Amino acid sequence: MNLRTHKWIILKLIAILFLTFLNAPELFAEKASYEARAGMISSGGFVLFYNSRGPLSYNTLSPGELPKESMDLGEVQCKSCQHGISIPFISSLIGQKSSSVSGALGDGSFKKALSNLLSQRPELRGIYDVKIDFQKVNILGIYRKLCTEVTARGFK
Amino acid sequence: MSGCGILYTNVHVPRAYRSATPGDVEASQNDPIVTGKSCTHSLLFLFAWGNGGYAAATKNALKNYPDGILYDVQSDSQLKSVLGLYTRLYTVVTGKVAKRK
Repeated sequence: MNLRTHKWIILKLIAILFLTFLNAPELFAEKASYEARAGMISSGGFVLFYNSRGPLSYNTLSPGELPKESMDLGEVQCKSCQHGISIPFISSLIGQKSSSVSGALGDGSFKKALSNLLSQRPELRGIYDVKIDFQKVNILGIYRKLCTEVTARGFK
Repeated sequence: MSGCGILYTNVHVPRAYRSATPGDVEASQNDPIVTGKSCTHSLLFLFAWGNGGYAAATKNALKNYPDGILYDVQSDSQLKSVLGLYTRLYTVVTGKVAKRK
């Protein structure tokens, strides 16, 4: 191989790496919103292992739906998380294209978040005025975390 | 758009908020209308950070009414970007403040 071929291969590798990184935001892309939206952590490339739970839908209480004898317990917060790992590689087996092996693990479901809350505040009967957020963490596209955060007011 | 940094991301983004209706609270005609914002930032598509969630936006809206509750809530997104290099994505919550029943 001459110098020109080497340069061409290096340029190709750089382009592949660049495209891999460009593709990283897609990992967190939200789909169109429907009533029930699965909030599963995404994984790219070859998925070696996936065992994760995420939120789907939660018909929360509004203040007018509280039981009559209920008592407000102030603001409460809870969260549950899913974790993912993705290791990029370039393989000559697939024509020098970049890809990755990935895996995901964890329980980021509403059920887990609320059971975490109940273990901290066993006196709670329920929650209302519920705000649900996602926390997304991504370090170099290798480690990802997706947490379901519930902020609400509790009652007993 | 500002929810992703290729090298590092730690953002809070909104997902769902079932807010109160006028029938849920002690609503009156004089209830003040408040607005609260929360935002995430993104720099050079490499780094993203910030809390743009509903919890932060409603907390900001109720900063002068700590015992109040929002009802009749509208939530919007607002995006500010400079050459695509620095981006801010806001979650804007607007609603009326009432007392809890």
